[in-house]
Amino acid sequence: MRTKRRGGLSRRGAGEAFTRFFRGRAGSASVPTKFMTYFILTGLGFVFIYPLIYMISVSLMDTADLVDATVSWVPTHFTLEGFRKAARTLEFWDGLKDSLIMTVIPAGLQTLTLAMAGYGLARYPVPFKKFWIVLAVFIFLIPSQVTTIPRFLLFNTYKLVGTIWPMYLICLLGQGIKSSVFLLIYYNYFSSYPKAMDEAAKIDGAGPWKIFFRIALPMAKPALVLTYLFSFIWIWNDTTQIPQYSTGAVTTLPMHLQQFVDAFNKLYSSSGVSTGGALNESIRLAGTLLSILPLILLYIVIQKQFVESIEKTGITGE
Amino acid sequence: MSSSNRGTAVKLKERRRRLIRPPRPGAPRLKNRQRETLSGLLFFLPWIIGFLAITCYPLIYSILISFNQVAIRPGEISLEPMGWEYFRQALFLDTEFPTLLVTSVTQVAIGTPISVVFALVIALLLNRSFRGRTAYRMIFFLPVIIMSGPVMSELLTETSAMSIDMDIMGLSAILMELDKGWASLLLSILNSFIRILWFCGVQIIVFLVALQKIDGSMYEAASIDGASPWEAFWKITLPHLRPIIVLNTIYTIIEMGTAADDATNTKIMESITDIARPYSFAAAMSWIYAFCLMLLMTIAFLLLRELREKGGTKR
Repeated sequence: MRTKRRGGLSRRGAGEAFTRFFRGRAGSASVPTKFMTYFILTGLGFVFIYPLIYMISVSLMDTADLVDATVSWVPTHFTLEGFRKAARTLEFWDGLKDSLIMTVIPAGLQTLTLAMAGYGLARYPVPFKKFWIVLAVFIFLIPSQVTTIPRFLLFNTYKLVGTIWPMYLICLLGQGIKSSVFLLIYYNYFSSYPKAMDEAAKIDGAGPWKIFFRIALPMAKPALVLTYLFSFIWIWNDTTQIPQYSTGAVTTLPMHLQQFVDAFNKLYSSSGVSTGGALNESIRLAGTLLSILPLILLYIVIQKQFVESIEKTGITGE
Repeated sequence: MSSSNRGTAVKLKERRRRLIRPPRPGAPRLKNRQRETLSGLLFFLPWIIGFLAITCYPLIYSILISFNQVAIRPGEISLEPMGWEYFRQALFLDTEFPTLLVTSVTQVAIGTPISVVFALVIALLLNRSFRGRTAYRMIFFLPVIIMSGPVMSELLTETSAMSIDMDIMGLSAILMELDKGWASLLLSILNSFIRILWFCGVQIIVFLVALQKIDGSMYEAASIDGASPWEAFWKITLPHLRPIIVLNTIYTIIEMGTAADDATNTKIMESITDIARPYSFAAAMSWIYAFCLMLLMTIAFLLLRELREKGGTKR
């Protein structure tokens, strides 16, 4: 905010640095601009990284540190015991396997289906176009808790409850968690890329499917990666739908974590905010960290893709 | 690279012009259009099937139960029509709901613009190249992971983890030097600001991806034509991002509106198991809330359209 205003006041002076700021192609930005960037990003980033630091710090503490009021951030006795115990209670490898079963393919299915739907809406004269878009927003608006129970009854009549397939079906048909936002992203993305490419391919005799897979999809790579990443995370973290539909078939990491926390709360809830709760904390937070660790790794691997893919394809919107 | 591209494009256009016969009015064109519609529908079909098979029924069901009393007897669930009764109860008889509703809607209405603007500023900053950019992008992605799923509830049980402990930063000590009333007001503003920031995660990434799409040569062309960077931002960056801003605004409204710690949602979740009126009362309330959010969205949409027309940079 502040940078904006400053640039607005002294246009000539801060001009060049300002250009770089908004274009994001800085070779060597001036020192104040650079300082400003770091200052704002660090200040705001602190809010987000704070819980993570907290979790890491507590999960590395041993029991003595946890009850010691003088120890607040840096553990005096480093121990990986919390992680070891958490890995055992979460049955980490089993949970990881189940989590991967529920996320890798469904997220891919959802990515593809919604890309197709967005492409169809954006590129072809689909009847009632506006209606479908408003409907998608409307679906998004209804909290998933409202629809979970009727959906459960529905899957029950299809005899799919207790198997892994409900999630696959939901994703294959593009009705997954917050899927409407992806539909809108794709719609926006496909509406804005040059139509000349499509037309050229059509003249060369490519059918609609070939155009879609060969031209439209590669160009929408950032949107695809984004959708896959977000779908993956939201399915991974889901603790309302998967437990409802697929209990018995799989137990994902977050489900293990929830069971563990519930069991512990039941044991110690009578004594209020008890020492039992505090003793448990390092295991619980270690477990929480373990359950999101794969997501962080995934992001590290994938994030370069949607930042650089545009530069690789060399085609940008007109 | 770009010049050769343009070359082929021109060639292709010529080729097409030669290939396409002079348009005849009537049948063939219509047929072509029908075929287009058909392939469009084919692309869109899985989603429609999904909507009809999975989403439509629960949606209608939840509307239905808000107008009926649900009676659960062993082996069956029966519905007795109640008309607008539950809506009336929620709006005029319930002591909490109207107040909670107003609070929630105000919170969303204030929080959304702040959240979107901050997401945009952060995305613009992250889009620059500087040392440690990858690490910063990692940090600003954390809310996406943390805001969904059990991590969030884990952290919410920790009173100190979610909102930053003011004592650590020495802030509350400084603030307490001020007048008592002002201090608590400032602290509560700061806290709700931090809460709003947590809703930025997805929007930052969406903005970041959209920013990557803007062609750099446009800025060069603009600066050659004498546009100041300030003007370039308003005339190039913002118009390009406008659809994304609309999208993010809608997303933020919904995300904030459906947040689990939102006061109205807590009330709705509690009422699901209301013995006298199971499901129905909760369904009625959530439809009222959804309607209010829809209204907010319409207002936001109209405002953003207004902005575009004022800017005059319609694409």
